[in-house]
Amino acid sequence: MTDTELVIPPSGNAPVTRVPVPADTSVGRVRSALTSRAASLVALVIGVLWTIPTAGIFIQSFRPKTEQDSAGWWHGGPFTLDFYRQLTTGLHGNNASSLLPYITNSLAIVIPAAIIPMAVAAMAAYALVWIDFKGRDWIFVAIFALQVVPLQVAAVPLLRFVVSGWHLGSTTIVPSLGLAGTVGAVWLAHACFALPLAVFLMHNFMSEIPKDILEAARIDGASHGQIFRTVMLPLLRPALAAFGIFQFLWVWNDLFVGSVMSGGSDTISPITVKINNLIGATSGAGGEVLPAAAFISIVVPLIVFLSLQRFFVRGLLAGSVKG
Amino acid sequence: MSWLHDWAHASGAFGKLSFALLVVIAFLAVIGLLLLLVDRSPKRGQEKVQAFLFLLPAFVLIVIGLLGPILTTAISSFTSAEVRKKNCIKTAVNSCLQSKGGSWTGLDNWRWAFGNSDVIHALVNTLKWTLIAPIVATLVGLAYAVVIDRIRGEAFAKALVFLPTAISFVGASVIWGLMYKQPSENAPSGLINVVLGWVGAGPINFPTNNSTTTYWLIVVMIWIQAGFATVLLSAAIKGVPTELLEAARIDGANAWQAFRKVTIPSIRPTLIVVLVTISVATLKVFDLVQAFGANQHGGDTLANLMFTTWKQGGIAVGGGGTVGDHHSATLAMIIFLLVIPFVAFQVRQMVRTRAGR
Repeated sequence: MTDTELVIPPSGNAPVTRVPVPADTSVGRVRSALTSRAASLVALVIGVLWTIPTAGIFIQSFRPKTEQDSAGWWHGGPFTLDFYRQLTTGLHGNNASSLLPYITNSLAIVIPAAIIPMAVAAMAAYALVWIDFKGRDWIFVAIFALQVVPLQVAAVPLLRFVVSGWHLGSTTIVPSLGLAGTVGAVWLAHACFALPLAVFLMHNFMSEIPKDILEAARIDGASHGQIFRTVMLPLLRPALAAFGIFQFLWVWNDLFVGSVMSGGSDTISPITVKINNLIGATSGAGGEVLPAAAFISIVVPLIVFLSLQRFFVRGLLAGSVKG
Repeated sequence: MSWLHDWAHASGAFGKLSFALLVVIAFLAVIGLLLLLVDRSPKRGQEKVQAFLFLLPAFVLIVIGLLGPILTTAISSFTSAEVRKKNCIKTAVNSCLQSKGGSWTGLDNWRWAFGNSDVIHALVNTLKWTLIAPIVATLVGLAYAVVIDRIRGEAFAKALVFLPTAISFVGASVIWGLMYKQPSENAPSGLINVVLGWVGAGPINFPTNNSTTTYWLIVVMIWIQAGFATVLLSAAIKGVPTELLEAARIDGANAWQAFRKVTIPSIRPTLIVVLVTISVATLKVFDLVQAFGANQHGGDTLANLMFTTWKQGGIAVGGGGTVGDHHSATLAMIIFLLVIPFVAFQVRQMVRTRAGR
């Protein structure tokens, strides 16, 4: 983040909030001149263009194969729920192509992958902001700078670590964690990769909290551990929510880490990996289920996004640096 | 501990989710223990010990997930792979290894990369992505943020364009696969080809026309990223000081001049953040290429080539890794080098901002 204005205030309000300017001021006039009829047209065109693709897949997902094969989705019905049944509870008693196991995998990955870095980053940020020791600024800058490490560089060695631990020659430094073949491999990767951003967000947030609160608690004899639990965590709630939603969407939508860390195993593949395989498998025939499958895969993040957009935007504004 | 192993490998939905919760609870218990330890340590004078304990979990995860791996990958890009004996069948006693690999080979892997036409092609494509996608997405986002500013239903208008941000790249691939669909005997044309047909152009032959694959993929990237640009720029535009715009109007500037000379300079920091962020994301573009299978149609990128090189490398017998491992490590390092300037810029900005506080 390069702009102090975009740092989230501890009150948890949206960043950069100004009182709306009434239309009769000069600014209003500047704007109303800009927002002429042409501008409205631009807004309409962009808005429609951006909505059509999603609307198309949504409509297509309800059309039976014969319809999909004979006319574009804009021709409309008849509609059927068969694909959705086939991909969830099963059609005619056959649930072999159900996507629910993969949704489960995604959930089992996303829960630890969001909560673990939250807790770890909150602790680290607390030390970096509130405990006075030499070199803390450098540690913070170094953690922030670690965003330079692309997932492509980190994922494969991390997979090797998870599978076989660390060895120096024939000496075992860290033994295998036993996470191989479990979703643990996937969420551990996500938890590690999220840390630079998480620490940055929490650090920003905590440095806005007035020093008096902490000093008062210190004078009362509270330890750092107590202050962290009883004073900081409740204050941090908006920042934790912002990061949590950001991380949820990021992890749910990720394909790279899921592909590498799951090693192609169906039992731990997240939904994105499954849909990606489905695209390949149905390029010849069977593609009629794809729109419904895609929609099932995006419905969870869409719900999260639409209901919690406020927090998500806050996270974006405060942390638009994730690499 | 076998029950724990079985639970970790559970195949049922309940088993998986309950194990995920168990992991979280166990983890939070460890954190709680650590905090107790902090409380036990002397309250005064020993700040350093407490800071260490607070930083310990982050430090462990960073070493496991970031520092260790980057060291391994860097070494991997400068060392050799294991060599197996030819026509040898692997048995329990005979591992077929001729060389365990891992010896320093200097720049051999890098020479391979820059002498390989596939890599060069992917590199050129990646640069095309990085030149086009961030700029166009930012421009669209800026235009949209300006035209919807303070109109009725602004929040709704913003949500329309912002929505793709919540959609995975894989989901977006299905969505745009339908848009781009090529007319054939057993399937109607996608909307893009229909519209192009009205004006006598097209069909676009996606993705089989190798010379345009990358550009049609970039369109999808722009579709995804424009909403991000809109949200950030819209917030910045609302933060432009009213007095400045008023002063410009009093000085006789028209709307366009006021926008160019006042609004743009005021939102410059945000514009740069948006550009840099989308650039970094674009440098690592993988999902779209992978889902569309674009690497088979001249649309490969570095991140995707890195993945396919690794995947096709097979599993190494010894610890030295396959040729694919070492080559993909080199490709990953190239991405790393490309990302450095952008992140260095962000770090500099952040240090400056902090100094200014």
